[in-house]
Amino acid sequence: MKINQLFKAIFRAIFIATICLTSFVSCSSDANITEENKENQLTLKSTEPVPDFEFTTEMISIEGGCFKYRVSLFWTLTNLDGTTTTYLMNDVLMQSGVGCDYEGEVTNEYTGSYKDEWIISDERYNDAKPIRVFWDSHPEEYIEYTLVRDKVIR
Amino acid sequence: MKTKSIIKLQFIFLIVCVFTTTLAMANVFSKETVQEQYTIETALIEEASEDNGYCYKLRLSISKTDAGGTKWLVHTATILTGPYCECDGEVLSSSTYNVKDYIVEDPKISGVPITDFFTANPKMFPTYIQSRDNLIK
Repeated sequence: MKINQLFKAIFRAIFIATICLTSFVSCSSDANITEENKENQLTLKSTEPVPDFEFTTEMISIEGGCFKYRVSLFWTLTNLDGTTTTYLMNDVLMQSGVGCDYEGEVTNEYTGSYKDEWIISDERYNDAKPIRVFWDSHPEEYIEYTLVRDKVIR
Repeated sequence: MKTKSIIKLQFIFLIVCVFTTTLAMANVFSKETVQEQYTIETALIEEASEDNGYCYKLRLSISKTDAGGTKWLVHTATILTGPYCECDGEVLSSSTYNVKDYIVEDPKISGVPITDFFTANPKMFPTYIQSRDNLIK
């Protein structure tokens, strides 16, 4: 009887521990399912039309209140066979905020002040327009750029 | 008394099992949160042609995302690459990963050349190769 009681106690403990272990596993499985759902959502989004222009922004430095960052403009070309090729058009160094050092910066048709920012340099490829000219002629793209920029510069 | 001992034994066994399970799960989750620190991206500037010596011109960018989600540009360089591409100048190479590309411009935005990054992180070469080869079709 005593041995039986001992066995019952051990089995009861194992059962409870198994329940606890199962709850952890189900939590991680839920997380995996969530990630799978995210991947499925991304897969669905890939069927949407690829935008012609796309901006990316990466922070380079923050000194005081001056933000220095790189802005890239990409252009996606749809080929005759339906495939797409994305080209880098503009590689732009910019700064904004307070306390930025403008000494030595030369203002020309490519660089200088643009709205609330300062274009330090604008490397253009593939016959790209200067970025300020592009933004002036594509105000909707400028808005898209500001949305991307503001996610980086907080 | 003996019944009490059994109950105590059961309780101790339960505590040990739960504690061990918790530690194991914490170890698993901590490993899952470790992510790659650096992001390597390449952008196509110019496709290979007879005019440019059959060299693809790419922009190579290495960035790092901080805990707040801000993407910091760590290195950037203009690269020439391609199976028939040869160029004078600095080389980005690895005999281990069979890489030999050419650096035509490196602004050293972090103060050190981009080659220093790959010297310190040679295991990032496969990531660079994959990103590069996705552009060179």
